[in-house]
Amino acid sequence: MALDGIDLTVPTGSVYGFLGPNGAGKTTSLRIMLGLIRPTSGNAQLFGRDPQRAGIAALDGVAGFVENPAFYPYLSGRRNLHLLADLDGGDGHDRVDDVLEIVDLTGRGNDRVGGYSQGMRQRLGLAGALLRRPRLLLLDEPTNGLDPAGMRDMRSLIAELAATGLTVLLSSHLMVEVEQLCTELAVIAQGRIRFAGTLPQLRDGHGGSGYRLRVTDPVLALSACADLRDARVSIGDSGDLLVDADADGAARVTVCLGRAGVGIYAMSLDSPSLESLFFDLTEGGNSAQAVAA
Amino acid sequence: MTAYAWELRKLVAQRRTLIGLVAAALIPAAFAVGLAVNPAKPTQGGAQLDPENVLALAYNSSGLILPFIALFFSSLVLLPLLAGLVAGDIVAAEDANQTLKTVLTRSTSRLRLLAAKAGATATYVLTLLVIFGTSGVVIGAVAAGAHPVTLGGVPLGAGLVLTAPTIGVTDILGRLGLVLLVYAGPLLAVSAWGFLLSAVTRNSAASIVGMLVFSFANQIIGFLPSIPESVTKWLLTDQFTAWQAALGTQIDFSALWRAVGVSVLYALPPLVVSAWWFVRRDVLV
Repeated sequence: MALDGIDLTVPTGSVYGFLGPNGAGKTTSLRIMLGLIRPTSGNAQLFGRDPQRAGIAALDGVAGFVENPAFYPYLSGRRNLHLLADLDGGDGHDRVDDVLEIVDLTGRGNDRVGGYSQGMRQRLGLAGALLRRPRLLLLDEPTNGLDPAGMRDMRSLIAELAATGLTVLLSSHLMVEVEQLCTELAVIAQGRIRFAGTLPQLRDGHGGSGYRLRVTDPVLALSACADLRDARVSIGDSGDLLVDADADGAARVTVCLGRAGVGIYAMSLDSPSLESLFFDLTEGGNSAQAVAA
Repeated sequence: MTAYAWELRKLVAQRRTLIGLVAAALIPAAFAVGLAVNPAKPTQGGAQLDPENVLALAYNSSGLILPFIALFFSSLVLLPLLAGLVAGDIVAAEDANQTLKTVLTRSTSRLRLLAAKAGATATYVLTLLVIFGTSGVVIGAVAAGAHPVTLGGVPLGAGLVLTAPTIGVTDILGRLGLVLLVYAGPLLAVSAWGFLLSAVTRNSAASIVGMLVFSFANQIIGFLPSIPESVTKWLLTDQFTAWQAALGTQIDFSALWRAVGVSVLYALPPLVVSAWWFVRRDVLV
């Protein structure tokens, strides 16, 4: 079973990350949303419309692509876009030049797509989606196969589009991408949603944030803070003092250390990386606790 | 109509379409060269001639018979093969290019997209025949002159007798148009089967081969000695040769109409199944 009881609500105006390892069910989910495949049971709704019931009408205001965007290689990029505009009813013709400019393909618009690089095809895919003036953009691993510069450019383009108020559902297996671009995210593994919410919610739900202090005498520091009720203090492998507390609790620790004559060399926020949370959720099996959005 | 127009533009932009149309133009040229190198000679003692020899002999008096000669020899395999280049590819190519997921997420329904493809295929097949016929007339006229055609008194086969002493230039051109129109029926019917295979197998080569196998299977059944005429007249093979009824003294319109009707019966099921399949299929590439 590719998907099992997926329940995903994407807030309007957000860049919503859909994070999961390869084979987790991200692309399958997007295919269902775009009406390319039918679920064995259940339904997907876009703006309240189910593609299985409403057909192509369910995709009004929705655009995007799954996997690598594909075009007719024997037609130019511009003609491919005109073709898509016609299939959408013809309203997009006057936007072809604009969207080519947005994705920085104006100079290559008249070249055959067969000669395009992977990055150019990805950008043309985005241009094709923008032709529809979407309110919701579904992007499936849009930086897949791009070189570092192409990835940077694509992410910056998505960020620019998001800044215009567009709702973006961004499927990715790249944690750095989701961390950079997304305001909320869902983590999917083995066809099930393991977490849905904001990044701070994810961190709070899985160990939360803490503080790391480098001090003159960790052992003395540990004993000095032993009686604090709103902070748990321990010594890490590197000899640093690890403080599990909120900001107020951490402040009280520093006061306590000063009174005990323990000097502080450095103090930093010690929050778990998205990567460690991701592995915790996707490889931690069913024990991972889901947090409602 | 928009989707249909784009299917035509896509066909025009593809090399295989051009190859098919050029090949259709070259078929009569090949026969003109063959007849120039080895012209047909009358038999001694007034012996009956095979239909192909009747047509070949007529070429000595008029080049306007050339498209009929070319059609006689290419109607069962060569022209279906050229039709298959598009019919067997037009849906499968979308899978090969992975473009189905692109076009199926736009505002045109699957059924309309498929209808556009079917329409474009039919247009290609008809264009193929127009080019074939025009090329035959032009090449024949240049090579052997545009004179009235003499076809006389010799059985053409299948109960048809060519007794017309001569057929005038205008008349023979009119009959060519009628012949190609009638022949379009079975060619479109076999193309519909290629179209179905293209939609179901998603593999161009397999679809083209499958379409030819379908055509051969019809021929093999038709050639079996134990099959009665009441059966063979419903096979597609008979419809592929039915155009010859337009070359008699009197045109046998009943045979021509039956060919068209039977061809329609052959074409409809694959088109309906294609639509059913295409509308329901999951797009995974």
